[in-house]
Amino acid sequence: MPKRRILIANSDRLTQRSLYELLCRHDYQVDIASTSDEVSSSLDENGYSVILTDISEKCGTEIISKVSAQKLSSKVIILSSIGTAETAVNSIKMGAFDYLVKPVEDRKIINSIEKAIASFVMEDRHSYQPAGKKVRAKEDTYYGLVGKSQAMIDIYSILERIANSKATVLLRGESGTGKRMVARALHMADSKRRKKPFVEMSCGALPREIIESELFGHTKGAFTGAISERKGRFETANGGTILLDDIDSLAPDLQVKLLRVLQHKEFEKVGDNNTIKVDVRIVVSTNQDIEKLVREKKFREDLYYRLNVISISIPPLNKRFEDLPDLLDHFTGIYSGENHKKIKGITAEALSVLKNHRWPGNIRELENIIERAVILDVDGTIDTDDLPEMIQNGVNCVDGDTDGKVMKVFSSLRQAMQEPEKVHILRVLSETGWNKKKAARKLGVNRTTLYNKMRKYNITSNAKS
Amino acid sequence: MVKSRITFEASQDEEKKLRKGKQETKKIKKLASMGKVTAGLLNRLDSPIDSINRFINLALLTLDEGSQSRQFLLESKQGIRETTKILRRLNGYARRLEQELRKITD
Repeated sequence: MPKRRILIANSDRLTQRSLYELLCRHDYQVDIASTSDEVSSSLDENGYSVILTDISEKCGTEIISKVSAQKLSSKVIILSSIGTAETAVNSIKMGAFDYLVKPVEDRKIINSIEKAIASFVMEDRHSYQPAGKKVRAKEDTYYGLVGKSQAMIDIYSILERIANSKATVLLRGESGTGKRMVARALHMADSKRRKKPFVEMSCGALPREIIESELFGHTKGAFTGAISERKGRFETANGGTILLDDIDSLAPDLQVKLLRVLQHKEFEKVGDNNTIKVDVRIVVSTNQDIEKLVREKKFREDLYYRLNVISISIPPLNKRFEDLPDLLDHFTGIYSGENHKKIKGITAEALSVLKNHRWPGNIRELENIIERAVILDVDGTIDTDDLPEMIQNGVNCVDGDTDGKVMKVFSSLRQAMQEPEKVHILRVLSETGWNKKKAARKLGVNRTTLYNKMRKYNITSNAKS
Repeated sequence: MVKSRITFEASQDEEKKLRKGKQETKKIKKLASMGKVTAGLLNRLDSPIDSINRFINLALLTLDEGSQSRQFLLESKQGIRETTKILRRLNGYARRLEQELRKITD
């Protein structure tokens, strides 16, 4: 997480006080240094993310020189006088992060500081070198997003730039590419909203009436079954971010209502005349060609333009294979922890097999395959044997099967039904520490049935790690 | 006779040049001091204006919409905007002075 300590290096008392008050209101930890000596001693602590100074003060250039000479990580923002613009430009050449000409709007100061702090995150990301260890630490991800491919770095860069704005974001990408993760990362990158709720809502999962009441809330008695007043998702997400998944499946009349929320940030609960105003960052996602839906009049054109302020396309897994090792480390770490296993790594052959797969289910498919492999693994290293036969044989799933859970190409329904049963039994056995009595109870079958199933699927006790 | 006439004309030319040179120096001194005064004025004024503007913004955050004090502060902000405009014009003037000074000294 970026630091939020700021040093105001300025001898003018009025400037000091006004900046101090402003920055404290924005939750920064602020220190003031009036003299050169105070500045020097404060700088030696090297705990500041941003130093705000005046170029007309002698210490302005001194600070920039000291920061660059001592290779301090602090960013220097110069407050320049109207008449000293040239000096300010020179200060940028010397290494200042930004310069602002007085009188400067508060918004510009805060934006500049936020940019400086955001640049810490970017620098941290770029300086990240994968270590030999297999399990990735949480800090190695960008707010939960994994990958160092150019496509992902471009996404991080866009997220950084739009994080503190109010712009609506449209996330596009195939199913399983991680649209929800990107939305969550955007929420976390927004310094103002990250402490507020992140609310998700799938527009395709529920009937139209329920979606309306879910999104906007309802009053008591608004419809049959509305026994009490209920807050909608928009109201719950006030101050934070709302993700509307599968936006393409939203009913036409709700599209109109959403348009109003986007334009005026206001709506009414179902069965209520009072207008509610909210401050919510709206993120929508789709895996459809939304332009085509607009052309076919299945999606409102005006809503499309409102939503398409910032559009981010998330690449499918087969377009970012360079991220595969990082993703493998990430999921292996998660599932080995969950299943109390010690996975040392993955063999080169298994990695090559995974690279040859087409991944129609994208990262979700990979995640499920890794979970399966971790559960099935016996020797602490994921090998080709731990991967589903379909992937071992280089057979890809049929198009449209994107959940990644049914992996094999089976000749009969019976065979197809057996695979998930086997995986589930293995998972429960692993959870119960291979205690068959507990596992049978958890599975809701007799111990004898469990033994029979284990024999049928060739599951032996020595499969445990 | 002719020789003495030539000498007289030459001395007149030199005197003219000297007078012109003195005028130029006076102009340069005037421009330089005006430039200095303007730049100093800008430096002295923009910091307090910047701070006053920020304090007003902070005060506005604490006041209710439509209150009279809020209205007064908004009017004050208008005054600050006007002053800023004047300062920027002064800056333009100081720059022009600087350019003229450069032309003369070059």
